[in-house]
Amino acid sequence: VKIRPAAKEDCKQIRELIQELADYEKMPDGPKITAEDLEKDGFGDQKFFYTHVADLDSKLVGFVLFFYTYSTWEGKSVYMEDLYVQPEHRGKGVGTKLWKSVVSAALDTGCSRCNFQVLDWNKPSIEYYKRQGAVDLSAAEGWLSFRLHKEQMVKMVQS
Amino acid sequence: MSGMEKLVIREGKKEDCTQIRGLIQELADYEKTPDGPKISADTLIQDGFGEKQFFHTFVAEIDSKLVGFSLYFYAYSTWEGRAVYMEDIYVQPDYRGKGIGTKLWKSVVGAGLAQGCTRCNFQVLNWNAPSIDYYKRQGATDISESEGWLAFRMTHDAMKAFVKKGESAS
Repeated sequence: VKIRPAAKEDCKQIRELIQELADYEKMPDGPKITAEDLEKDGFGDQKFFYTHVADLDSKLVGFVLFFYTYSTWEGKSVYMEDLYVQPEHRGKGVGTKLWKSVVSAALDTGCSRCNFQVLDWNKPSIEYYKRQGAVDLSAAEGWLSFRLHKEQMVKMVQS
Repeated sequence: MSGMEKLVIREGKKEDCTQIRGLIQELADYEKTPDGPKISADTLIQDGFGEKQFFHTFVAEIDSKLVGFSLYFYAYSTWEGRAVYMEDIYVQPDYRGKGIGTKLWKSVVGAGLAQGCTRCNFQVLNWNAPSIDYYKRQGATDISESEGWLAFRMTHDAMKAFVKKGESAS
């Protein structure tokens, strides 16, 4: 398995892996974007995200999608949005290699934090993240995640 | 309080960074974590106004004094695409209750919509009841509650230890 930055041509396979991850999270209707959206948003003039993929003989068996964020306390940070390895390729360290590649890129960029979210019922992932040295900030500091969806955003600027 | 007629909400500039750093400190004090902010105004200038911009800001200004700010950046959802993330929003206590915070938040949301974003995400501390109520009144949802999201973090030390782990074995 080779860990490498994704190319535009990988977007179709990445879209399929995104679907597999949504199915695993029990929310199969979640992903609304297309492979073309990924091409435009990740490989255009302004990059909204970066990806690394796990490539096994040209078949992508895993991916990690991330972007840079900012903390007014500690400066540049990296946010890991998705990390996924197909079930049949798990237990071989592929996920850890993908995650390490993000953390490594982030350290090179001068980041001092790697943030991500996990669903509270996802015990295997929670255990794994903690084993690798990550901390549950919701438990430790009381952070709650909030969101405005598009309709609420439009309503807000119109009010 | 006089001066509201002189209120200007505008994009932050390089020259605002010293005052923004002051407001960041005030927000940390309010969050009961005064030793939190480690970065300087110079770092803000470098990271927000350099070749690659890691964040954007809107400021609330009255007669050259900044009384509030919002700091945000663009994010991505593999489900819904472009998103905007509001990292900090703060209005000085003397200037609250006049809609300044809402104007700052609207500016962020407006910028997000102009960029094609379909979500505005942010976090709030679970003891901050006034803010939680305000955010909900403006239409935001607590997705920690509704969907079960937990926020995880690797600190800088943990990141360095992580990339070193297993190096000799690989």
